[in-house]
Amino acid sequence: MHNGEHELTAGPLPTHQDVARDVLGRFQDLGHRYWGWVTVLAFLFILGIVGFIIRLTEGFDDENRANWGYFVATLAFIVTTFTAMPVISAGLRLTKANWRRPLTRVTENMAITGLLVVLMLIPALIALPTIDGRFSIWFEFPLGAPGVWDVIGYGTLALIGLALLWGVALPDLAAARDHLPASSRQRVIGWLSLGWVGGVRQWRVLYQGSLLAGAMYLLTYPLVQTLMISDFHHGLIPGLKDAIIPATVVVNGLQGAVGMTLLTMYLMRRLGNYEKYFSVEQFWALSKPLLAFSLLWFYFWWASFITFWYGRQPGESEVIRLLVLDEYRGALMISFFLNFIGPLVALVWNPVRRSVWGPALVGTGVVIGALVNQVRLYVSAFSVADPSQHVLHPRPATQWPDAPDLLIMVGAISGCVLLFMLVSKIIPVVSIWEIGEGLRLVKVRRYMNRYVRVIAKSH
Amino acid sequence: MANTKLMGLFQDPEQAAGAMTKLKEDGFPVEDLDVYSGSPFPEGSFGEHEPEMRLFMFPLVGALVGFAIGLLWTAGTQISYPLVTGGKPLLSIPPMTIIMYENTMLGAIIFTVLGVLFESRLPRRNLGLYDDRITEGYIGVIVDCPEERASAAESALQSAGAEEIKKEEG
Repeated sequence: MHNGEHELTAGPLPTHQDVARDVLGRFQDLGHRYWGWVTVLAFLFILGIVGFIIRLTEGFDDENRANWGYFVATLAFIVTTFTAMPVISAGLRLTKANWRRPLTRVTENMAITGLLVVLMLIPALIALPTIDGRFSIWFEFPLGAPGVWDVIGYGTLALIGLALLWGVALPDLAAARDHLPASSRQRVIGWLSLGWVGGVRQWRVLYQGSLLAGAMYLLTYPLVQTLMISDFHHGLIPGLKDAIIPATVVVNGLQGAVGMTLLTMYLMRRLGNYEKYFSVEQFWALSKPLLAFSLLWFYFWWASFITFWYGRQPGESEVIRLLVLDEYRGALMISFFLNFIGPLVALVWNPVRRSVWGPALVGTGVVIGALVNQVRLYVSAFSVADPSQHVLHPRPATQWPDAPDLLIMVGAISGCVLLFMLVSKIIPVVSIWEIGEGLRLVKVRRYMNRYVRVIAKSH
Repeated sequence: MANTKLMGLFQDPEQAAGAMTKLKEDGFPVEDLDVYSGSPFPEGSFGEHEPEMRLFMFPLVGALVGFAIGLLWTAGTQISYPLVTGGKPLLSIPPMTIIMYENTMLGAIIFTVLGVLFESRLPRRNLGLYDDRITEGYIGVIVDCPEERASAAESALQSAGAEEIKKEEG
């Protein structure tokens, strides 16, 4: 039994038909506001390309490597937030959480940002110094490392994400094919639906296929984060030996994914009038893993820090000074507050967790904290002049963003949102079939002096 | 003898389940019956035939193929062009592990996509006997039967409360 909301009554629940008509109605008529946002985001994305071209003209040689720090930090931010979002859907589908149904599609649609990540990865790899003579996970492996293997790793994640997105969306593409008026858009959607009819065999395959693709996304995401932190951070800072940093960034990615999901749901409520799909239940339920990931954020950071603090080798002292005590202390403090203290202080209160604004506000903070933390990790690493040293000396000064950096950061983040909005023109942002299935499994029943929802387990 | 396909459309899933029961009682083999729906129902809800599938074999085979390619690629090149550095072992296991893992996942997803397409018989150019209302929550009960039994199937669907019955000559 589950009683998610105070105002539960014995009134009839909406039907599959109600949901299909509502979602497809919104899908068909995107409205002026949608196109207004698309225009603004496209403009910002173009500005980002301008910033990128400015960086390109400065070149990739070792003297200019520091110029690419903010570019790489932005790439890491996208991997930590947008591209991590399908992990939420995969995890919740594997655990059969019923409250997931309205939000899975939002998280799966974000898989499209994997394409932007692969594109951004190529110049980031070119900006990397050679692996010869410095520590790296590639052990001076001659066969295309790290470039070829990073691209294959990220490409695999993007491919799995797109397969998950397309496969799970087939029934809703078929719904759009069936009910949208004839147009070029409807024809594209019809082609993408692959002739889905919803037979018993197709549903069984879809169910198993979505679990498999979700599990593969869950298995590949840690690999991608490991490659990111090893090649673009750990291998560039002399004296840095942190055995748990891959696990740290995976946990940070999960926290960023939950934060970005909360922020996206909040914006869709406010700007897209999706209140009835993203209710308190979804915000409340997601706030609990967010609190857990925030505690883990501190745990992993502290476990790394304490090793360096007690180690006190010359190289370790310099690394602590760079990342924690001196040059990037401000960035760490901001991240420490937004990724740990803020969520802890706010989310321990049940009224805050059990609201829309509370988890959304904390999620926004988590996303901002994640961006600042990526700047701390990657800008610092890219500003090291000679990564082949054994001890970091001299420590690079704090590097502040200049105009091209700001353009790239704003442009890339806008590009991700733009891709999400463009995909949402082809694939409805709310999964009709998953909500339809969920509605059939829920009944409102009288229980003593109140009404409660009774949820059946389908398998 | 040519076969005929019929589809009874039901708004109420209970009625669709009743139609399936009636059709089976009337001697229509369960393998010749199918149910179209806009969302999945728990297995066996309609008493339908559970299709045999081997989807789980596809990622397994893909993963094995990917792993083998990764292993051959990395070990093969290092053995073919031996560059011994500082007396260290020829095969560099840590980077090989990353590459083999990547190839394993890549092989698994490619084969999974192929498996999903193959097992769900997609893509199909022609929807065949179908109704747009299915994606709005209606249930379509499909009967594939010899032409002389079409009227018996039609009356079974009718008696179960089908809102509409569509027919397709085979």
